[in-house]
Order: sequence, then C-alpha cells, then structure tokens
Amino acid sequence: MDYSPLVLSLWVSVLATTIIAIFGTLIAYVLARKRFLGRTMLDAFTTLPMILPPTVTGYYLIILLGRNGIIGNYIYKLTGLSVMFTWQAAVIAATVVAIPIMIKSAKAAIESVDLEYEKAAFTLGKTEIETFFLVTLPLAKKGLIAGLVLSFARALGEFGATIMIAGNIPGKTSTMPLAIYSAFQSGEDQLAATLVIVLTVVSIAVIYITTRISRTD
Amino acid sequence: MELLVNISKKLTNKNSNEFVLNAEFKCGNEMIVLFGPSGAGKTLTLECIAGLEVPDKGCIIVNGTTYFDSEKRINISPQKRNVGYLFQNYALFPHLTVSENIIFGLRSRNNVKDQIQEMLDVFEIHGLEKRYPSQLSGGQRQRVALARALITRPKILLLDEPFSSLDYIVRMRLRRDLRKIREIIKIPIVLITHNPVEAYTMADTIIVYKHGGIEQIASPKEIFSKPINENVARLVGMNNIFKGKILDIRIDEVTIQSHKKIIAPGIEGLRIGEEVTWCIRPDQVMVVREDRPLGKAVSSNLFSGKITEIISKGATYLLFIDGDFDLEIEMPSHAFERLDIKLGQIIRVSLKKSAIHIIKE
Repeated sequence: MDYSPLVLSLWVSVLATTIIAIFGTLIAYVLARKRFLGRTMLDAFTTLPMILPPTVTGYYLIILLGRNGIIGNYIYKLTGLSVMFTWQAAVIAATVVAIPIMIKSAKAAIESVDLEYEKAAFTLGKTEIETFFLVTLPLAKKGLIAGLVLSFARALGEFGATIMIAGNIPGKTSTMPLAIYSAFQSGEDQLAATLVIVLTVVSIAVIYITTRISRTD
Repeated sequence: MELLVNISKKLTNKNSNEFVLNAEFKCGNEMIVLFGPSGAGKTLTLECIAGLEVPDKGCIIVNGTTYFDSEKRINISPQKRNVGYLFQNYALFPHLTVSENIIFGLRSRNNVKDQIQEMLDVFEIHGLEKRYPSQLSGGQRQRVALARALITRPKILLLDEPFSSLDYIVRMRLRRDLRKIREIIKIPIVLITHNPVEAYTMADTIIVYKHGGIEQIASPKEIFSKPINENVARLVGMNNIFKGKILDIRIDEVTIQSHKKIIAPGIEGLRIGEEVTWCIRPDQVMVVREDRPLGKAVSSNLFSGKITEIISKGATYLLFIDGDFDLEIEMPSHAFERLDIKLGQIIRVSLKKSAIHIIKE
C-alpha cells in the first residue's frame, strides 16, 4: 500500500496547525481584547472561509496566489516559482480553511478570562505580552487546545480548496481526502476503504479528545 | 500631600447613557474611604489612580510622582505606577499557587524566600504556600491578595470593596490586618465601601460620592453628625429629614417653623425667614416614658405619633411613627422591651435639641 497520502496529510495538517496556533491565537486575542475601527470587519472576514464553500475559497486563493495572481505575480517575478500545485499550496489551503475554527474557539476562550486577572497583572508590573503568556494563555488553555484539535481535524479533511490550488498529484499533493476520491474513481475500493477508516478513526479520536478537554477542569 | 486627585471622565454606555465622573481630593498617608452607593464612580476613581482607566482630563499625583497630567501629556502606564490594588474578587491567578501568586509582581529574584516569609508572617498564612486559590477560604484569599499587592512595596494601596464578601469575623480580622499594614508601611490607603459602619470605623477621612461627583470630604465624625446636604444625610442614615423656615434666632439656639415649632442649636449665618432643612438620626429620637419626669435634655421638642411599623434588627428596634412628624426611631432592644411598645400605640418622643442638624439650602 502507498502510505504517501497519509504521510503527506499528516505533514500538511501539522504544519497548518502550527501556523494556525500562532496566527489564530493572535487574531483571536486582538478580536477579544482590542477595540478598534474595523474590528467587526476583521471578525467577519476571518470567519468567511468557514461559511464559503471550500472550492470558492480555493478560487479566491488562485486569484491571490496564482502565477498571475495579486501576490503570486510578485512571487513569480522575484523567484521564478509559483506556489500553485505544490505541497505548500496544500498547507495554505488547509490553513485558510481551518483557521476560522481556531479563531472562534480561541476568541471565546480568551473572552471568558476575567479582565480583572489581566488588570491585576498590569498593576503588578507585567507588560501586556508578559500578561498574555503568564495569565491569559494559561487560563484560556482549554479552549485554545480544543480549537487546535478541531482545526487539525478540519485541516486533515480539507478537500475543496486543496484540489483547486494544490491539485491532486499522486505522491506530491494528493492528501488523504483527495486520494480517497481518486481511489474510488479508479475502482481501487480496497485503498479507498482503508483511507476512509483511517480518517474516521482520527476524527473519532479528535471528538474524544475535545470532549475530554472541555469536561475536565 | 501624598495623594492628589483632580480628574474628570465621561463614559457612554451602549444605550448612550452618559456618566460623568468629577473627582477632586487630596490627602496624606492616611486611610481614605470612598463612600457612596454603587455606580457613583468610586471604582472608576481607583482604576484611574492605578492607570487601568485614563481620565479625560486632570491630574493624579502620588507621593510627588505625577502619574497623570492631561495638560503636560503625562500618563504613566499601570505597570510603572507601583500601585497595590486589591480587586473586589481579589483576582488571584487560579492557575498559580499561593506563593507563585505572592511573588508574581516581584522584579528581582533575590531574597524571594525572605520576602515571602515576611508576607506569610504579616498575614499569618503559613502552610498555604502550595495551595491553589480555589482551595482557600474567602478571608485567606483576601490575605494572599493583600500579600501579593504589598510585596512590591507600593506607593499607594487601593482596596475595592474589601469587606463586601466577608462574614463578620473575617471583617474584624481584615480591620486588624489593615491597621497592621499601616504600621508597617506609611502610604495612603484608599478603600471603597458602601457600608456606613465600615466607612465610619475605618476612615481617617471619608469622601462621599454620588452620581460621579463628590458631595463631602470630612472626618467620619463630621460626616455622620453634620452631613453637608440631604444626599449625604440619607447615605449616613440620618433618615429623619424635614423642611422648615427660621422663625427666631437666639444666642445659642434657633426656632424653626415646620409642621410644628422645633428648637435647634444655632449655626453661623442663618437669617430669620430663611428656608432650611433639618434632620436627626433615628437613634437620637428619644421615646419619652409618661410615668417619669422629663430630664432637661429631652424637655424640649416633644411630639407624639402613632406607631405604624416595628422592625427588629436584633440588637436594636426600628419604629416608624406618624404624627406631628413622621419619624424613624432606632432604640436598643432592652429599652424597647421595657417600654412594652405595641403597634398602633401612640407614644411621645423628644427630638434632642443638640442632635438636630441644620442644612442650609
């Protein structure tokens, strides 16, 4: 059996989840704690990939990152390379589609941390960054981890946006959901079923972990 | 002066209701009590001193350091103000142990052990070092929070409603702790309460707040016996308040015409015919026994009324009477029981002349 879809999927999802952990938490903190013009816009914009059909998100990513795209154009001119149809594109697709789940979950978790704790840390001489790492983060830990686990699961199952910008190149960009589709299409039912079972087991594990986290104090 | 506050701040809530805070006061290394109903701006004042809120304009100076000055564009961050702040719910970090909480604000890691030990000694919280806040009683939490605030040697200590969620015995304990703190460090301590008894017993100076403004600044004795206006009179429980007109002025007493004539001690600057408000504390209204000759102190201002309500407060009773004046009377339980007072009964009362306080309009 070819394990490359499994290995690729895990690699892509772990990378995407790492990016999501950093930027998702940062955006969530800004949304939860800062008052600024355009905050509602940012909130709506970062939620959008959760609502849009993934193929639509993928389409926008092509407009953004394609060889003639708004950003892709510059990258191509500078390096002669395009991110399209690479495993990196799969990481971008997974990140964009899964980050709203993290932002929602992390924002709720940070908002639930009583402001008094942060105020107390300020009066005790801690800067905002110190307070974030010493107080807010540990107290919001449960919601943050739950958000990350769910984001990981979403990244692992990403199909629509991935096929649009990364394609379905066996051994290169063919992640598990894409491999299931290909295997089923080409009549390799055995392979399709195996991959389906793997993804099902991972999903059940994710649900189990998140419920455990939200239950224990 | 160790603390000088002169600030104003306007807040607008979601329903576009406006709240304006205007606070101006100064004081030394003493215990200052901000007293008044909730929503009067007391907590906002503390937050402005601590730098957690920024006033629209004005200045805040603590121990010679300007924390805030809108004209000079000075606004020191809360981190650099070195203020000890006790939050209403203590805000102990739930994920840290007692000793981790206490040393949270320490910059230098030298002599940490000695400093913790000192705080444990002052607040008598030995043996709790490894516990988490959720494993402490309310009183213990408060002492840990005080230790955490004081270990950094703050320039000023701010206490937001420190008595509100404590039972009687723990309150007594806190009073003792605060006295101890004052012996150890000479800094201004600003304390918020809406409880008149706490205000009276704790304060060197009481600052009375109402609707974002300051009504009166004075010693507890002054505030409770000579409230400056009707608002303050009500806040300190001087619940018998009446209007009247000055009828006659003699050397040391005046006659006021209300429903009936009333004799009151004279004060400076009254004119005949002037409209005034006069008031008397419920505990200064004496119920007169019919079978006893009247003493000199209670021989004037005699009125009668019918008892409409009786409320027991444990050690004292509250009586409400309708009559010449509708009065609230507070009397010790032993006196109430000896007089055998019943609902609907008509009693005679004396408004002790020296206890009558005149508020000029």
